[in-house]
Amino acid sequence: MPDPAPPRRHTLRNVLLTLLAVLGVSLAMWASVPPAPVASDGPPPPPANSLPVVAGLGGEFRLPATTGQDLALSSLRGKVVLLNFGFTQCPDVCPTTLTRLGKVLRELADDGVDMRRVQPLFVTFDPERDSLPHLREYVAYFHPSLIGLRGDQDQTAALARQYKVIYLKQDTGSAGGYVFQHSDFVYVIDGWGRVRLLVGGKDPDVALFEAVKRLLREDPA
Amino acid sequence: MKFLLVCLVLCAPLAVAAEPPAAGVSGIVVSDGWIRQVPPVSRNSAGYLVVENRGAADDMLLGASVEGVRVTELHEMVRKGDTLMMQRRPAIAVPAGGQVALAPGGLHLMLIDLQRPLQAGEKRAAVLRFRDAGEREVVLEVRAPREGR
Repeated sequence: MPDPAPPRRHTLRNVLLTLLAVLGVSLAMWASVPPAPVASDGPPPPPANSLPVVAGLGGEFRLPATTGQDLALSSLRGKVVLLNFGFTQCPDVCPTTLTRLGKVLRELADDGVDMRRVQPLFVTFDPERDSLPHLREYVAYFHPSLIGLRGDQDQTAALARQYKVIYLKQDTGSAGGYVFQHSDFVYVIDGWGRVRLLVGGKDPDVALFEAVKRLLREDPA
Repeated sequence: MKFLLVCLVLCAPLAVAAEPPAAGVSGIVVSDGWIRQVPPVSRNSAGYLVVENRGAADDMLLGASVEGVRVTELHEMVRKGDTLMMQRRPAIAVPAGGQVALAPGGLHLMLIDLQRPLQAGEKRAAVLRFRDAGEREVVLEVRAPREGR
């Protein structure tokens, strides 16, 4: 059995009061909403359709560089950083990775990308044999914008741990001396210093190319 | 010895020009030999080639020597999960009727101590030593890897 309907006027007044209350609360909430993340100093979250932040690795570092000065990742804010690790006596893998890096950098330039916003870095595992002058000549061969980084053994080990880079000194009994067993990822780092993609040796060059373009697009200078 | 070297250098262009490569008595045919062009400061590089065995018996590549390189070894890059590991190989089997490619990311001639820098387009004489086919002279051209490989 339906309840007897309350007088119409009362219903209308209740609805209006409720609406007013909701509006008031909304206004109060809107007024207390913190400023949008974009306006803050912290890094904005990556757009939903873009590359997610790779969790659990990466971060700030500072190492002696082939520029003649120490280089800190934080000094490259606003640039897409392509970070790679290796050693100059590496006969096969490292030159392959650096050749491809050089190729992709030239393709990006041809595509009209502002190359002042892209910084490739090569960190040596082998400070014992790779002096900074040697490293400077080595990296320049692959691309003029490549900067080499050379820490001491401890700094190198710490950076490798931080980026979860695997490198193990190996003595194969070769006349060429020791080599390293190592991973060969290129770390694609956004303008906020966050790792956004790892590109492996088996990934196509276009993965690197597209990642750089995408990160530059989401973070216009 | 000098005569052998002169022969090697003189025959070198012929080996490159020979197309298709002629099989020796043993059936071993070597083709597409090249050396990775590396920065002038590099002391090491890698050599690549394809060995085909058209014969009826298995053979083995035991070693090599390359002009202007102190030591040449047989190495293999092996991928283990996310890491790459270099292994020195005492020999590389070339099965009868099969072929083995020494190519970037896998088997290669490890060129240790370049006695002079590699120039793009330069041709270096090399000798490959096979268990049964004996010594085989080839020419390796210095060039940048294709397609970044």
